[in-house]
Amino acid sequence: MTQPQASRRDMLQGLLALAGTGALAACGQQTGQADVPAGTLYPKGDPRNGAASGFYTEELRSFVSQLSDIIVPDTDSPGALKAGVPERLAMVHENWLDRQGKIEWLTKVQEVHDALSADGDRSFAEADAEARLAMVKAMDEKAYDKGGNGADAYRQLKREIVGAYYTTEAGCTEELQWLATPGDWKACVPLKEIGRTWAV
Amino acid sequence: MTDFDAIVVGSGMSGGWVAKELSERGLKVLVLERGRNIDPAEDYTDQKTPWEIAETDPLTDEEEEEYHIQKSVYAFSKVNKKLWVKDTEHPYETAPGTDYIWRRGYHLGGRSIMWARQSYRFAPLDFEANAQDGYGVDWPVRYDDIAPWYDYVENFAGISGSKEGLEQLPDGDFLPPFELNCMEKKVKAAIEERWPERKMITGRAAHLREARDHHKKLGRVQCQVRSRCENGCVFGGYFSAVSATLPAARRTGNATIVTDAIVHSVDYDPQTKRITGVKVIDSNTMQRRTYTAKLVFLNASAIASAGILMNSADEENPNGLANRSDQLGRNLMDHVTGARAQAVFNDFPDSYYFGRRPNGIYIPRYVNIGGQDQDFVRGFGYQGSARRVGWNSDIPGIGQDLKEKNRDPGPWIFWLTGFGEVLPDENSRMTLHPTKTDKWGVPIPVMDARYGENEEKMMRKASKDAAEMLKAAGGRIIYSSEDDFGLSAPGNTIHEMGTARMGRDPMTSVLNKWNQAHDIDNLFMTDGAFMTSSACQNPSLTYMAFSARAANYATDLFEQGVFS
Repeated sequence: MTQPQASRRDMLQGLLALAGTGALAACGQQTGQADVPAGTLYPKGDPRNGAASGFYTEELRSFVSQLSDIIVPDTDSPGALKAGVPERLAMVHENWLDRQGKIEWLTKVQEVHDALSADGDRSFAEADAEARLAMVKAMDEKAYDKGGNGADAYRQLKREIVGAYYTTEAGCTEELQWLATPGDWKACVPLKEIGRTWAV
Repeated sequence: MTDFDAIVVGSGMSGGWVAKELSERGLKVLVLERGRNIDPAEDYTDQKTPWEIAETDPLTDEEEEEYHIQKSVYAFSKVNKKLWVKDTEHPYETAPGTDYIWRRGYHLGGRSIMWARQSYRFAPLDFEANAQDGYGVDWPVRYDDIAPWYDYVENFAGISGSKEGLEQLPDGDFLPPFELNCMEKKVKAAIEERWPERKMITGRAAHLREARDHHKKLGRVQCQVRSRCENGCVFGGYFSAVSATLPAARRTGNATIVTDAIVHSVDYDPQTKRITGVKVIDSNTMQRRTYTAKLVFLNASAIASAGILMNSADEENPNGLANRSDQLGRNLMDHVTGARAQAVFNDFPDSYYFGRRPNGIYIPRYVNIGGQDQDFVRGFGYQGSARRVGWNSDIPGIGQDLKEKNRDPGPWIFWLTGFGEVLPDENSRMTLHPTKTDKWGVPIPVMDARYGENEEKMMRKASKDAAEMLKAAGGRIIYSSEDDFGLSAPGNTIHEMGTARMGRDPMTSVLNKWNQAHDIDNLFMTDGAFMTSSACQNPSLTYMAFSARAANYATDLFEQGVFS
């Protein structure tokens, strides 16, 4: 019966908990200049391209999109891209994080990018699709096994992507299931009759 | 000639009932609500989808401060924040060294919109407890006095539940129950086998598991099992003043409802020893006016109602009206919590449920029944539920593998939370601040409430038992308050009560057995203020029953010309 509440503070704390230190050049941006030129994530005129926008560059969008697509791809249901996960995350980060939060989030993204790229001869950004998949797969195994560089940041980013996915309309209604008005309560039903996890 | 026959101050859980009963008996009634009007179509957010909620802006930093007390309750969310007061607009203070959590919603219907809907009768032993162990004063009524009124309000409100034949939790006029799920049935069987005196039942909740004709006539339909209740319910699937009692009052043509009307105080005529009117401040314009009536019911909630009488003090009554006993504001009670256990079970991997049941289980009190068997008096009950873990964003795997893992729900998690009786204590009280006022010029309350040794012993026992019960059923404990023990702050359970207790002696109680002030015969109080003890059950159903009873008694007197 308890509904979790997402507050700005929770969101910030969740991200701040991951925050590292030091300079970064997150996807081509300078940490100390997180009030970076406006990105072009949304179509011109989209209200989400408001005053708060500015740090979501093409490179950043591309990285988040690629990672989202690998972690939650299209299968027999829409994946993260079709569900709009990168757009959701951009909205959240653009509008709900303050400047410091954005810097710290960028730090983590850079950390993940660098960790993914560490074992190959090409960076993640430069790698082809097959290599990227291998990089993420290796990182995922490492993150849930022995940990290591970038593991915590990777898991945080993964939680954001996956969490956003299962709260999109596609994630709720096409991958899992959700009913606006169940209309009845059936207390004990064979799982195979229900089918899949209730999204909520 | 008065403006109205009766004025009801407050439109929530109890005030709605009084308005309904008085107006159905033909009295011309004015309902004063300090908050704004509620239009379910506009103000409820129960229709929001998970993705709309996910994309709703979180609280701003300013709002975090504005709602700094309200926001910590489970029922508060970013999409229903407007149903809660802004703490910065409605301040109160606490005595040094004490804490008090006062959660409120100032709008038509009050907290009856956001309540947890758990509805339990008090038992004969609850009405006898004070007389038995000497804490507080004796209730001036017994269960048999109230039982017919429990029947009455249950039928109208619609309470789902199962008949169990328990002396400590009397049965009622129930709608069909919410069935326990597979895991709950197993835990119930294990507990009842190991401890035959303990029972686990389905929660008794104010949900229309079926809509009877009299519900349908008010536009209410069967509960749709959405579990969006704290945001309001456009179906009227659960009882609230907005869905049930206020529409019933309105359809009589006898009820006038005025919102945004903050009651400052009441006018008292020392000659007749009666209330003659209610002084009101328009919350928006600050304009003041007085409404007159022959009869006044205070239903503003336990702290606010007592505060109105304190703020009506005069030379003859320097400590507030109806306060010859000096009990006004004292005996401030709540229900204590702090006992919790959570366990994971590997049973029933192939079983699931359909619907989002807005209810859980209840374990009625099982200690100190038929005699003293603990090192504390009174007792506690548990609420809880079992449900399967949903999707998990932090599990190994990517791609199809990740999706496949989340397509099957996780293991069953069972949680139990104990709710204990708080003893009446004259030293736990609220007063009005001598100088500080809110922005409408009304003195702010000061709470001075503490829990004692009895509450602590009770919750330690409840902590231990909760974990033992879940373990006995085969669960692996993942949280026990035994390892993290601490009592909830007074007020935290949102069951504040006791500030104008009823009793037999005018020198030791504020109200008589009809919820009528000993000192002022046209003044009644039927919100939580009247409670002489707290029992351990959720109290709203008892407020409803006493409200209906008192309103009908007052109407009898009115019809006899007593207030003319």
